[in-house]
Amino acid sequence: MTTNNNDIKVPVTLISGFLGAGKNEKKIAVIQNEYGSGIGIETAMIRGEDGSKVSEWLEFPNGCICCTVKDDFLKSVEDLLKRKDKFDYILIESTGMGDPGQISSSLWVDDELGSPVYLDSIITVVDCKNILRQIDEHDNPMPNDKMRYSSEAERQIAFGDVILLNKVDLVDDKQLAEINKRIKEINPFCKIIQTTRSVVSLDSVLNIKSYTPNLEVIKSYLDVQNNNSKGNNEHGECNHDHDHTDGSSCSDKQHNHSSRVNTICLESEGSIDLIELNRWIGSLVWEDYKDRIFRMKGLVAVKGEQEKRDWNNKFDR
Amino acid sequence: MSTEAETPATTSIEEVCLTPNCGKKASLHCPVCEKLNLPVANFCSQECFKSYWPIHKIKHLTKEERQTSNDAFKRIKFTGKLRPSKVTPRRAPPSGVTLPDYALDGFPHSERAADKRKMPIPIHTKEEIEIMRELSIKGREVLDIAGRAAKVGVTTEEIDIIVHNACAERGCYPSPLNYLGFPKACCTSINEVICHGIPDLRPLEDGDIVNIDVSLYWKGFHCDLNETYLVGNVNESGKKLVRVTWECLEKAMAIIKPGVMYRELGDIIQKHAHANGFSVVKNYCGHGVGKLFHGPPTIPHYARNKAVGAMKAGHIFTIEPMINEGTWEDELWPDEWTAVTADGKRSAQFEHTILVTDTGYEVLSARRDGSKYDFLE
Repeated sequence: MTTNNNDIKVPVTLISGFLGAGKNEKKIAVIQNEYGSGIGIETAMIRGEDGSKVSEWLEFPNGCICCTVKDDFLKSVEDLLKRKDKFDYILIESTGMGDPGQISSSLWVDDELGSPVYLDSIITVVDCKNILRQIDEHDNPMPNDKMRYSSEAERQIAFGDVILLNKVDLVDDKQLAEINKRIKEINPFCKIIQTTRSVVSLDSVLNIKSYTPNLEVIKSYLDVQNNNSKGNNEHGECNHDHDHTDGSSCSDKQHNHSSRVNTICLESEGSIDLIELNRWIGSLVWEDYKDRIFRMKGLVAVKGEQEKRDWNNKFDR
Repeated sequence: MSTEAETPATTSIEEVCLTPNCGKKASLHCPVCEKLNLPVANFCSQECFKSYWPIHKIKHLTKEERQTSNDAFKRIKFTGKLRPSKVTPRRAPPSGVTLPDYALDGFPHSERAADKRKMPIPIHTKEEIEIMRELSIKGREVLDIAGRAAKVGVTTEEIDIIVHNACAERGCYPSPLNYLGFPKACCTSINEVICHGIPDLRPLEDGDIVNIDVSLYWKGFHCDLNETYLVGNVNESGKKLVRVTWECLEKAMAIIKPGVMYRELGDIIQKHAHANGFSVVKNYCGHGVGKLFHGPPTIPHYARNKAVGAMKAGHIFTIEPMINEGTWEDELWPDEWTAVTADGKRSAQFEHTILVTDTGYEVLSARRDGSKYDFLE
């Protein structure tokens, strides 16, 4: 199978909001879509070197077939690549508020399927003026667990690999520091970039391969955690005991901040049975903590395997 | 060509009536077959001849009359030797049966409303399980009848009529009929066809392998099962493909119990297929079945998949591995249904409707008469 090589696949970046297009060399297909509007790509266009619109078209999935693995959205994106125009990159700009989870999971496709695209990263655009209020905003009413345990803004930040802080000119340094702190509390793995009018160098946000193994991210996170535990007793250490896997003992220590979304770290000595680990994680994300676990990164020593495995997951349900 | 049965000529040879399950001594034979120099078609009586005429008359069609009129096929390069033949117009639903929500407009409203990604996997009640059990027995009967008809010279059109009528006799609607516009009561997939082959006027040939996939709708529920049959003398490699495919299904079912993740099934199937030099189709998968024809969970048959969900008692789903002699990759014919292997090599499939129980599983669509599979004999 030759299709597993990400280098020959076209990367896809999902953005909540719009990028002010800086100059770029890439030929980018831009798809504009609304989260939660279900299937149906509203518009797709090709953006030229100077950011201007070159052509626009509408594409709807043709009649679908039962029991296929790929969903309509992914098939539309793949159809787009069959056009004569050769694209280097696909940007999906999503307007409405909502979870990037569903679209990202339809793009986060099994390697085995040999899809010509892969999800590079998710970018969340944050409005500095309003974000602190949005984080604490309880959805009202709260029809399901997902909304009971987190706000819309928290979920968007949790899913983001890159957080674009927009309109930084409208807040002072103190507010900006608070925003940075709150975002890192929700999502300690994200990369934060500051902008004024969403104008950003595309190179710094595209093609960053958020979902390929990257141990640096985990290492730097652990370093921060360890430093915190030395300097701040209240925050305590990571949970070292695998028996406390319900997370309660760990999260208690971390509940100092106001955010309802935070990060838990589990460490355990020795190696683990892969099937058992999978079933346990499954029971957490699909049952016990359904809609309440957004993402997971890790390093796992599997029984009977020489090398450790890099673990990277994102959940939409 | 007339559509009414003509008067049969008398026959003197000691033969049995051609009508399935009749078994009486033949005294007449079909005059049209005689005129066209076709093999003699014997019948016991005018009644049998008349009742079997709608199926029998297909034998009289010329090569030209069997050709497809779909021009889209002229523009494609076929991956293998199989060519489409003419597909007859869609039949009306059986009268007096409950219709699924897509029977009239072809659009599975409830399935689309449910949205596979968000809907939890249904846990069936005792009463619902009893309906599924009874329905799956009906489904098994229909598949067995269709399988016995899969002989050299029989068209898949004839098999489709047999399936349509067998469903009607059991008070059931044949689920594929008009599902997203599908024109027939069952899927018949020959040789390089992976799945969703449309029954047409091509007679089965010696050495073919043919999968018949039947699904029945009854009392608000669907069942779904299929088997691959050997037609005449299939070569050893073909027999091996069919046997290994069946083993893949058996091995996957063996691990079913509460707590097992749906993604584990693909690891088992692919391991066994690869060990025998075969590949696993990736673009079509197993699925939840019950009130919806195709519902959650989605069950890929390939290894290292990220399928969502773990098994619980009361889940009902299908496993239906499609195993190929050559590449796993597929192509779609311009009829928008027929999935063929990209290299034209053969593909086989077996499918069961399975219930997760407290301690393991129950194969609702299991063979019940103790009969052996062709490839095991």
